[in-house]
Amino acid sequence: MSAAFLQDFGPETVLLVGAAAALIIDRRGSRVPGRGPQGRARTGRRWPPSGTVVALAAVLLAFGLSIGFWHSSFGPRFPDVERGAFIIDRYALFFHALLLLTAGAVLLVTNDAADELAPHRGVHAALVLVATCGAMVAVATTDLLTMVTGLAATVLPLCLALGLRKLNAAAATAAVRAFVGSAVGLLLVLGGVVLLLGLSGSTRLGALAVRVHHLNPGVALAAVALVLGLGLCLVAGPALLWGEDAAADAPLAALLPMAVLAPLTALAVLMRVVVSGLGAVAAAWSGLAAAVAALLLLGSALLALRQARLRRLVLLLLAGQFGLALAALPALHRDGPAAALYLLLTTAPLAVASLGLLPSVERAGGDRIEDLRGLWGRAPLLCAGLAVALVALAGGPPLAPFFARLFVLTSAMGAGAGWLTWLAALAAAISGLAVLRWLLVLFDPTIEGEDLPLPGWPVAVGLVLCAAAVILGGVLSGPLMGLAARGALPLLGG
Amino acid sequence: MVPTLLAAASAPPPDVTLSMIIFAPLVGAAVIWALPARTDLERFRVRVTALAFTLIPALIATYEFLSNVAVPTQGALPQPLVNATWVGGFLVTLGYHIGTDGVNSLPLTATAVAFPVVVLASWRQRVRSRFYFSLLLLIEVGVVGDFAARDFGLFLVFYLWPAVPASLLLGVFGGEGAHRAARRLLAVWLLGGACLFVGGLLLAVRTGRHTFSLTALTTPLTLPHGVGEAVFLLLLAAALARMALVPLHTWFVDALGTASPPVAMAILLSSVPVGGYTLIRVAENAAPLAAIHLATPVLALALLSVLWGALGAYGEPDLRRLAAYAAVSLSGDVALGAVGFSETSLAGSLYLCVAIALGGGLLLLVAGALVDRQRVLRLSSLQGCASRAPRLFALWVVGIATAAGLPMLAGFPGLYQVFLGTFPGDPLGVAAALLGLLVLAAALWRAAGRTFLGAPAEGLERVRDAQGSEWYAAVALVATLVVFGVAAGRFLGYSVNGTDLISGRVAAVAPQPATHHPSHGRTHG
Repeated sequence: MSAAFLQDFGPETVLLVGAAAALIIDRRGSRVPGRGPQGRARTGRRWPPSGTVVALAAVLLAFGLSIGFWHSSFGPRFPDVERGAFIIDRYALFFHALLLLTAGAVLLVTNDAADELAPHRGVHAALVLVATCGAMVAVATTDLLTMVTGLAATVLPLCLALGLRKLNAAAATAAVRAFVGSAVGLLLVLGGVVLLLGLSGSTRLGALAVRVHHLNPGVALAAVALVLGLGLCLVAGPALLWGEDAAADAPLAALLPMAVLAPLTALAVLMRVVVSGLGAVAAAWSGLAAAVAALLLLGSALLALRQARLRRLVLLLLAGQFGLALAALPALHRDGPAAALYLLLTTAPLAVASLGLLPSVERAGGDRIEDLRGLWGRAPLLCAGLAVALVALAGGPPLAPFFARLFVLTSAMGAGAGWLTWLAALAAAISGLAVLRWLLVLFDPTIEGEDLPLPGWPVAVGLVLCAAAVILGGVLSGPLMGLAARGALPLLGG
Repeated sequence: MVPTLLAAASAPPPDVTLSMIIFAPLVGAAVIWALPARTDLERFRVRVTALAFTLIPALIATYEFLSNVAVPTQGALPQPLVNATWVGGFLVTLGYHIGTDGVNSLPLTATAVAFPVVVLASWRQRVRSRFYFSLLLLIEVGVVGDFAARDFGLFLVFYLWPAVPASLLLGVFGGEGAHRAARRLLAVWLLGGACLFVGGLLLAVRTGRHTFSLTALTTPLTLPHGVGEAVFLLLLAAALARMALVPLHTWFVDALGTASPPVAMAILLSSVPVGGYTLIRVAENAAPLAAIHLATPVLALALLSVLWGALGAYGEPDLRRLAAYAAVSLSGDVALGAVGFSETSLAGSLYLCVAIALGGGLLLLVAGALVDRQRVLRLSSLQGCASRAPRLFALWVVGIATAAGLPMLAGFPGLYQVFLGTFPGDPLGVAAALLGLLVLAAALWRAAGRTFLGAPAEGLERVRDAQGSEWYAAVALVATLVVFGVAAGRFLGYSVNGTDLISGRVAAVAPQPATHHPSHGRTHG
């Protein structure tokens, strides 16, 4: 392993080493009576176990390295691996930083919820790191096959994490559903890649951009397979909640990374593929992307309207918010990528915050709407946090997701997709109504039950950081948009 | 380097007055959130904090307003102005652009002055006082910010801002049927917001200006074929949703009929004035030609609202819903003035918005006081209560006089200017509106007769007169109504200078040879 390789793939290497260390510490800790994760759960201590601390340290170090790359004066670097299959440009670095921050936040906010995964807490932390590493590879490659591999390395560990409570039937069901959904998505993507290979003789995006510039049925089919496959990976989180049983018992510590990291990676990959590889045949995918966005937006809002369980409500609204990024695709040659990147930059902390709150909120007796009646009287801080998260998920101003919607839909309107703007505004209104139903219950004067305890400090720190990002992201939308625009520049040939 | 520093040091500091007016309540909400509220003393501190943080913007806004109206020609110039780029380098530039002029100064000041009254009227709020008062302050941020915004993105943010706090206040603290009313309020406001959102984006993208600045967006007189009409219709829908014009009035009547009196006042403050302002400042200013083309349907809706609201008030046995119908009827007069297109009628509309908010607030306060104590809704159950509640009776009479447009109160200058400015272009419309006003006045007097006068009904022992904070709040409202009624000549000159710019834009695109069109009713006030 050369020094140059370590320099280029330093963050990924740190993550893998961190994952291995977390696994080893977990194994050692669980053998010593009273020192393993179960021992900590018994004593009620809130300090993260050693495995999680190591994982957090690895994420922090990897983030520092990525930031170092961002600030170094360079054009895109092409590490000497597989004849330039990898590219470290600002687009990749933007996602590296975002993925690492998200992974860190996930590890923090799942600190309490991960107790239910005992004695596999260290495995959980390691799987999150491996998934993050896979996502970083997927967003930094120009080779379609490597992208599929990276995507698989992202999604499959997360499915595995869902199945860590293998003796629990519902958790196992959730894991299998997520696995099947993701596998179908990956197969579709692979099918699209194979078609493109047949048409162009290469799986490199650069070659595709040169050789695929006429729309024909083969190209259209490949584009459809890519968009649908990546779309399936995008909604893997909500899809696994199709059944009530899975929704009730899927461990949140595993559900959370699945619902955040998978869509982030899928969207990052999709944007690079369609812009850098299939930009010349935009007609093949832009309409479909807009249709999928419309379906996700309106479908999730309508389904959210009648939801009686908080988990499902949050996951559905998140699917709509992530799906909004697809609405920027028709404007990919203008300001669409910047708007989409800003959307992901603000949706990731929102997703972590809204799902991270659930374990604490569910101590009220469950996540059904009647369980949470009068939550304000029992836990004002939790209730306020949940209210802000729900309003943000519905796109309420002046929170960051509102501005994300504004930017994405402005670019969609600029690209001539006015109907999508109208539909998204309607979906936002419907989401607002769905959220109001919950808010009225949360702030109901009826108080039943005892006060709820606040989460431990690692969870609180994670939640506060994410909430601050959601609240201040709107006020700071100028600099954040500038960051997103610089991240999107490589896609536009800058 | 040195000259740059010197230049920076000698540059005037950015004017933060308006930002303070907008965001002081937000700071107040944050402070209230941090205060404990377990004991009576702590809850008292919460109320005092809320009052202080509504008084700060009220005092600053009043001072600024009085300074500005001293020079009426300043109505055409934005004062003070902050124009900073918020998000640049994107397809459309978003700015933190705020300022006051003759168009927005009056509603902004009146709203800022009215919110301390709302807090005062809420003085008995003991349950969840932190939650209650912080939401109330958040509503004020949205309403005042809406009037101050001169950037469309900012306007949109503030337009949508009060939706969740208002529906939460209504749903949580309202009476029977409040949840349903809250859902309807949110649905209509969000749909209005959706229309504003799409209309604004259409305007920003299709004009090719690539900015959300209202000044830049409202510079071209004509828009591409079809775009102007689409933009105006969308912005009109956003305005009508908040103005509660027929047929979008049911949410309004339900909300005011089920909310507690102070919450109803807050909803009234954040609906009719914001809607009227949106129609005049944003919709007509952005697409003047389309406004002329679509003036007749808007006029029809306005007159329908005037008559429907008046008849609804006549037949309504519930006092609070009656007050809501009165506001619907007067809101129709606001729309009538808006399609009069003269600087006089436009200024009258804005003035009337203020009168509706303040006078309607007074009626709601009295109605709420009676209903809360007697725990009945029907007028007949309250018959003869004037003997037990003479102050409430007097306040109701002032409210009626405002709604009927009697001189010396804020309703008179507004209605007078609307009718005067609209009459040359549309005498029949004005006649119909006057008829509606007469019916409304009759309905309100009839209600007063059935409620306060006559032989006392059985079981009136629970009725008590206005006292304490409730009385002070009502007196403050009456004083404001009188000030706006007596000093109207002083304020209107400043307003007319502002609305002159809008009517000038409409006149510039109006087809000259036409003989019978509202746009030709330009009257110099």
